[in-house]
Amino acid sequence: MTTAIEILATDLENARRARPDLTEGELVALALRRGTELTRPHAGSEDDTARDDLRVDLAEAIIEAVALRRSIVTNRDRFSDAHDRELQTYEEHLDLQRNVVPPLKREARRLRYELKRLEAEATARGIDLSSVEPEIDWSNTIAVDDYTPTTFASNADRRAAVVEFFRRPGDR
Amino acid sequence: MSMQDVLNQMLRDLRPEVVDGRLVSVRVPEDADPPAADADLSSIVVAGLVDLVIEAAAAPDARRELTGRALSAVEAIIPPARYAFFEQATGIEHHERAARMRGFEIRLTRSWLVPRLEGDIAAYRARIDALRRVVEQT
Repeated sequence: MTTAIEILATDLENARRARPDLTEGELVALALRRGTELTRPHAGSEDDTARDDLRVDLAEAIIEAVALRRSIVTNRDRFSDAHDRELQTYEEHLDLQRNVVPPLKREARRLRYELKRLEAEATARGIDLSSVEPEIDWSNTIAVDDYTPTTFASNADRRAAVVEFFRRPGDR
Repeated sequence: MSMQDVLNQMLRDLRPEVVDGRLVSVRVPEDADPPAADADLSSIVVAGLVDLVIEAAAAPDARRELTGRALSAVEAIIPPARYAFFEQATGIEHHERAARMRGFEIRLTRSWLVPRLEGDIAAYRARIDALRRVVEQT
């Protein structure tokens, strides 16, 4: 019975250069046996290569290095995806906050002023505003009368505002 | 390429930044007596491969020295690899969290704020047109 494992191709290619006398299957089986011996404390050696502490230390160090390498290598795609997604949302968010929302708020603010001016003018002419349709349900509108787009004098001001925005509660 | 070169190449390739991450699938015997170490089979296989390469690279009386040199090389790789792993994991966490937060805000803006503002603007315009007509008629 065998089981499939994945190893980095470069490890296998290097080792095959050192042991061309063995097939890939023989080499991997021998390597597993050797590695298992070295990482199992007090196990006896089954070949003529004496087990010593230095080899055990090397095997343990390699196991740690391989585990770290595998984590880093296999997480590369996830890091790249996370970075791309972060950049994409940053740009999309920036576009919304720079090019979509401010013009809408400015237009809404301008129309509210115009509407209030016209209502004042109509009232002055004796027109009953409640008779003019459609009416506005002011409580259901977004208040934009005091809206002013955020502007920064310098990049340092912008950075300071961003840092302040993301500051965690109690983190001073 | 000498056996020492092969060993050096194997040790160099333990550094995460120099390998391309290409994996191959190999079959290993299902051992009735599995490894005791807290490590997965692929790490144990690589440890065994390095041991085999050292065996091929040096005569028995020189193996201990070569093993010591290899150990020093691997021990020098581990701290920066730990740091790189930490940096990468932290970076992933930060990027994913930032993307989630911004994604939520983007969805909220697109699905709620923008339609609300557009609805308000349409209502204001309709009311303004009606008021203008009434004012012009008086």
